[in-house]
Amino acid sequence: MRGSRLILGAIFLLGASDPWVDASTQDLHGYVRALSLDLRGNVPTAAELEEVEEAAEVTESLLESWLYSEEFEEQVIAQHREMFWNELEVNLLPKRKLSKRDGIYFNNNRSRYTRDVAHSHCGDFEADVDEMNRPLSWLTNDDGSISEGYVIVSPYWDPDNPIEVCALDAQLNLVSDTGVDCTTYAGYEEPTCGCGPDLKWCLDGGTETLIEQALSKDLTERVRAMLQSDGSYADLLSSSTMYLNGASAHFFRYLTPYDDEVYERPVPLEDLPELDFADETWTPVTLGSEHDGVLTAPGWLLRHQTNRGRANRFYGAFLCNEFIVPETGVGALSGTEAPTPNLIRRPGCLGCHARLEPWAAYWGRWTEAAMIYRPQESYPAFSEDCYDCATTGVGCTDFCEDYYLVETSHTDQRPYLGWYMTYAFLLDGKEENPDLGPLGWVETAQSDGSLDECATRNTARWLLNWEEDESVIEEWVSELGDSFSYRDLVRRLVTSPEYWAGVP
Amino acid sequence: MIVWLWLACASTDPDGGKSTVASDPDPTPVVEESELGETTIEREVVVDRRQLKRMTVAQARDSMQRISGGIVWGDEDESKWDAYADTLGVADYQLRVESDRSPSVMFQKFLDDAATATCRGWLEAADSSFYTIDVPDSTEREDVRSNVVGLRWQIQGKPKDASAGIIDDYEALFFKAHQRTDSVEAAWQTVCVAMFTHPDFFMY
Amino acid sequence: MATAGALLPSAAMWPGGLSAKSLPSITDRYFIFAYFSGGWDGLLALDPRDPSIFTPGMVASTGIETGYATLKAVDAEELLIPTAVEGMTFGPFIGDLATTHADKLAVIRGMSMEAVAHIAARRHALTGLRPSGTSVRGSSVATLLSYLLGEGEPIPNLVAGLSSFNVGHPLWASGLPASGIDDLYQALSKPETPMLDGQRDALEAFFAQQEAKIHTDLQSEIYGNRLIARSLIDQDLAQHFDTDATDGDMPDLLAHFGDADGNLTDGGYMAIMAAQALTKGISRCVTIKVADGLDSHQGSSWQSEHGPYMREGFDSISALASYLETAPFFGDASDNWLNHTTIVCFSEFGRGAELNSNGGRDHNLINAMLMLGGGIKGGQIIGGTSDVGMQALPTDLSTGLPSDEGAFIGNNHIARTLLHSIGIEEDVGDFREPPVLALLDGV
Repeated sequence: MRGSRLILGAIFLLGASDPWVDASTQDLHGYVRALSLDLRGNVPTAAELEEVEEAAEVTESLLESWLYSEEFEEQVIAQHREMFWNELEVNLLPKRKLSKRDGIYFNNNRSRYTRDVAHSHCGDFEADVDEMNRPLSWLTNDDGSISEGYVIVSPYWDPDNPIEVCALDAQLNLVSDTGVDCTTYAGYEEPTCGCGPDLKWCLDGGTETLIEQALSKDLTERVRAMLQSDGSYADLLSSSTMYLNGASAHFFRYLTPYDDEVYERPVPLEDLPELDFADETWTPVTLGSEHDGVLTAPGWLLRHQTNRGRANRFYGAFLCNEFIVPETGVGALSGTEAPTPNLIRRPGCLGCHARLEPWAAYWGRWTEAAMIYRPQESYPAFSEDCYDCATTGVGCTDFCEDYYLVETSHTDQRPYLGWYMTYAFLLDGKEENPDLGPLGWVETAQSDGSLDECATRNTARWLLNWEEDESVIEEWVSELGDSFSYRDLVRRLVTSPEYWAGVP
Repeated sequence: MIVWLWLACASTDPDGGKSTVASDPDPTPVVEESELGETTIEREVVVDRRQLKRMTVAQARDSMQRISGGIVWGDEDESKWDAYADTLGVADYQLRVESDRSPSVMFQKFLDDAATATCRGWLEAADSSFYTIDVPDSTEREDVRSNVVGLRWQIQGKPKDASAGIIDDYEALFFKAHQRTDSVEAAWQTVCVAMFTHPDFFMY
Repeated sequence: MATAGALLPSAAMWPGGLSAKSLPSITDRYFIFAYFSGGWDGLLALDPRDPSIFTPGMVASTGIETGYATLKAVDAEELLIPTAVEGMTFGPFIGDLATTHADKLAVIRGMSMEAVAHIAARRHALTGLRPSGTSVRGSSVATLLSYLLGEGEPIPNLVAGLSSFNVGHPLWASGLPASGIDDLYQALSKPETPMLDGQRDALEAFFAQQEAKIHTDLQSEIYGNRLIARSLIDQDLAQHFDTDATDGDMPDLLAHFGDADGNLTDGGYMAIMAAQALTKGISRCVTIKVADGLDSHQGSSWQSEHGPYMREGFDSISALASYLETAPFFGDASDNWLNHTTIVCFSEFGRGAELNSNGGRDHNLINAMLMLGGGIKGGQIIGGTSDVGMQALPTDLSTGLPSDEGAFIGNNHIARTLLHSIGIEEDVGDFREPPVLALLDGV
C-alpha cells in the first residue's frame, strides 16, 4: 500500500504540473464515469463524454460545473440522510386526525364527545347545519349515539377537491359553547369544537405524511444551504436557520397548539411564512440562540426521541464512533432490589454510560419524545421550592412534580432532589452540559479535530468505498485546514490519486 | 425508530420516596480503559485505491433513462425501480438505515426486467440514439461490430475500441440471437440487455 | 419440488469444517421467524400483571406500572386472558393465540438483552450473536439453518420486512429479500413483455462465457446471484404468491387469513407468504415481519396503537399455525406441517415496567419470546420476571423453572436451542451458551 502511494507520487513528480489531470488519463473513461455517478448520480451524457475524450482529460471547468450542480447537492443530501436517518414516522396528533368511513371524513377519536358513543359516525346523508356547521337536527340511534350527517368542505390540503366531512367535525367555532378555546388542546372534549375553517385544525393520513416529510427535509435543506453558501461544513451543527415549506408552516401555525407538551413553534407566529399547504418552496426562518444546527431541529429531535438517542446518533454519524457491549457482557437486570437508576454506577452499564450520560445531557433542556426547549430562566437547574417540597413533605406543585426530582425511587437519587430532572447524576463539571447544549460537544469535537476527521472519513467511505488509514486522513484534514467547506473536501478526494487511479 | 438507552428501574427506597436530608453523592466509579464499551466503527481492509461499488437503485434508474433518451421503466407516475425499492434494499431510515448495495439476486433480477423494457423502448423510439450505423437492419459484420462498439460506449462508458476482446463476444451474441429469432431488432435488444446487465454497467 | 428431508451440506463447504456432531440429525424441520418490530411490551401480552394487585399505589414499591387503565379500546374484563393451560395467562392483546393454540405455546419470560438500540438489538436477535456496534459478527440464524438444511429448496432462506446476514456461508443460503408477497410475486415472474426464448438462450450463453473468465470473489458473487435470479424465474414459483389468482390455493388462503369481511392485515399477507413458501417446498426458513409500529414512547401511541398492532401480529401467527396444522406434510394426511415447523415470535427488546413521563413506555433490556410448533414443548412458561421491576429471574435451562443457580436466557441461548432442536449438539454457531433444553419436545 505504501509502495503504491510512492509510485503514484512518483508519477505526480515526474508527470506534470497538475497531477490529477495527467493521472486521469490512467483510466479516463472509468474515472469520468465514476466521477459523474458519485457527484451527480448519473452517467455522463454523450456530449460530456465526447468533450472529455477530445480534451483527453476531465477539465477543471467540467469538474467545477459538476460540483456546483443541483445534482451534486442531491448526492450530498443522500449521503447525509445516511447520517441523520431523517425519516419521521410518529403519530403526530392522533387526537386531531381524521379518518374515513363510507367515504366520509370524521374524527374517530372524538366521537365519544361529539356523538356520545365511541367510534360512532355521522351517517351517510347531508346534514342540516347553521353557518358554523353546527347541526340543527340529527338522528338518535339505538346505541345512544347521534348521527348528524355530513357537509361538503374544501380542505386546506386540496381546496380544489371538496370532500364530505361529518358536520360535528367540520364545525367552525373558535370558542365552544362552554367558553373553551377550540384552537387548543382544551377543545378536544368539547362537542361544539371542530376542525375549523377548511379543516385547518385537523389532519388526515396524507397531510400527516407531508408534514413529517417537511420536518425531515428541513435537515437536508440545511445541507443544501451549507453547500450553496460554500460555508464551513461545521455550520450544519451551529446554524440557526430552519427551512419551512407549506406543510410545516401550516403545522406550526395551526396544529402545534393542540399538543403544547410535545410541539412548539420554532419562531413566533408572526414570523411563520404565509404559505399554502401545498407550497413546496422552502423558506428560511431564523431560530433562537438555543438552537444548534441540525442537532436541535424538530426533524432530529422527533426522529431521535431520547437524549441518549440524540447523543448516540451524533456520536455515530459525526464522530465515527459506536458503543459496543464489552466482552464481559451487560449482565442481566436481575435481583430483588431495585437497580440504581444511575447507569454510571450500574455494573455492566457504566462502560458505555460513563460517557453517554454526560453527552446525553447536552440535550438536557430539550424535552424527550418532543421538540420543546425549556430555558434556564423558567426552569433553573436547581429549585429551592422544589427541593423544599421534596424534603419537607409539603405537597409539591405540578411544576415541581413534572420537571424536577421531588420523589426518589432509589437512594442514589437523593442528592439530586430539587434538581431539574436531566441534571440527575451529573458530576465533575458535567452539570453545565444542559446549558451548553449540543454545541458544547460540537466545539470540543472541533477543537480536538475529531469532527473534521470523521467528516473526511465518511466522505472517503462514500467516494472510495473503503477506509483510509489514519495518516492519510490526517493529511487531508491538515491540507483542508480549519472551517473547510464540504465541496472542498469532495474536490480534494475526487482529485486524489486514490480516486482517479481506478479500481484494481 | 427511536434510540433509547434507558433501562427500566424499579425501586425499593426504604424511606418511601421522601428524603429528609440531602447528602453528597457517592463518588462516580472509575472506568478502566478495558471496560470502556465503545469502539470506532470497525475498519475494513485498508487499500490504496477506489474500490468497485454497485450503482444505487437511483443511479441505475437515472442512468438507464439518460442513456436510452428518456425511456422510463414503469409509467409516468412511478418508476418500477421506486415501486420495488423496499425489496431492493433501499434504506427507509426507519427499519433499514443503510441501503443494500450488493449485486444481489433481487437487484439483478429487476435490472434484467428494467433492461428488457428499456432496450425495447429505446429501439422503438422515434429518433432513437440506439444505432450509430447508417443501416440499422444491417447484418454485415462490420456494421454489427461498429454498433456494438457504439452501444458499449453509450451504455457502459467504455472507449470506442473495436479490438477489445469482449466486442467479439457481443458480436457473437448478436448473431446467435438473430439466428434464433430471425429478427434484427430482437438481436439488438439482446445485445442491449446484455450490456445493461453486465457488471461493466452497474459496477463502477 | 423438494420433499421431506434435506440435502446436507458437505464438510468442505463449512467455514472451519464440519464434524459429525455438527450435522443435523433431524432434517424435516422448517422454521418461521416472526418479527414484531419496535420492541414489544410484555405487560400487554406475554408477561402481564394482575392490575388488582399491581395497583397505581404500588408502583413506588414494585416499580411495575401496568397502565391498563389508560389503554383505549379494551375492557376491564379483558385485561387478563386465561388459557386452558394452568398458570398460563396473557395480557389483553394476545389475540386468538390464547384460545386456539395455548397448549402449543412455549412462552419465555425474563430474557436478557444486551442492547436497547434498535439496530444493534435487532441484529443480535437475528444472529444470536452480540454485534460489534451495529456490525454483525455472524450470519442470521435463518441463514445458518438454511445452510444446514435447505440446499434442496429453491429459496432456502426467504426474508420479508427486515435484514438478513450471511457471513461466510455459501451464496445460496443468503436471505432472499422481499418487502411482501406482491413484490415476491414480481421477483419470481417474468417481466410483462419478456424476451423470446431464443433471445434468452443466447443471452445466457453469453453470460456463461463471461463467467468462465472471472477470477475474483466479487465476480463470483455477481454471476452466482445472477444465476440464482434466472433459475427462480425458470421454476415458475410465482404462481404460489399471486394474490390476484382466482383459482388454486389463493382464494382459500385469503379467506383463512382474512377477517370476517375478507380484509387482511400486512401480517396476514406475510403469513400467507410464509405458508406457501414452506408448504410448496420452496423455502426452509422464512422470516417475516408481522407487526410494526410498536416503538411507543409517546403515551398516545402506547395507549391506542401498541396493543392492537401486537394483536394483529399474534392473530396472524394464530391463523398461520391453524393453517399449518391442517396442511398434510408433503401429502401425508396423517402428519401436518405444524409438526415440522418451528415458529419463533420475537421482538428486539421489551419495554419498561413503568410508564415514562409521556405516558408511554421506553426500551428495556428485559424481553420475552414465544415459540410453538415442531420440536417445541408447548403449554409451558419458561423463566420469569420478578415482581420488583420485572427483572430477569435466573432459569434452570433443563426444567425451565426459575432457579438461583440458573442462567439468564438471551438470544445466544435461543439460537443454540434451535440448532439443538435439529440434532446439532456442537456449538457450530459459536453462540457460547447452552441450549434451553426445557423448550424442546422429546428432550
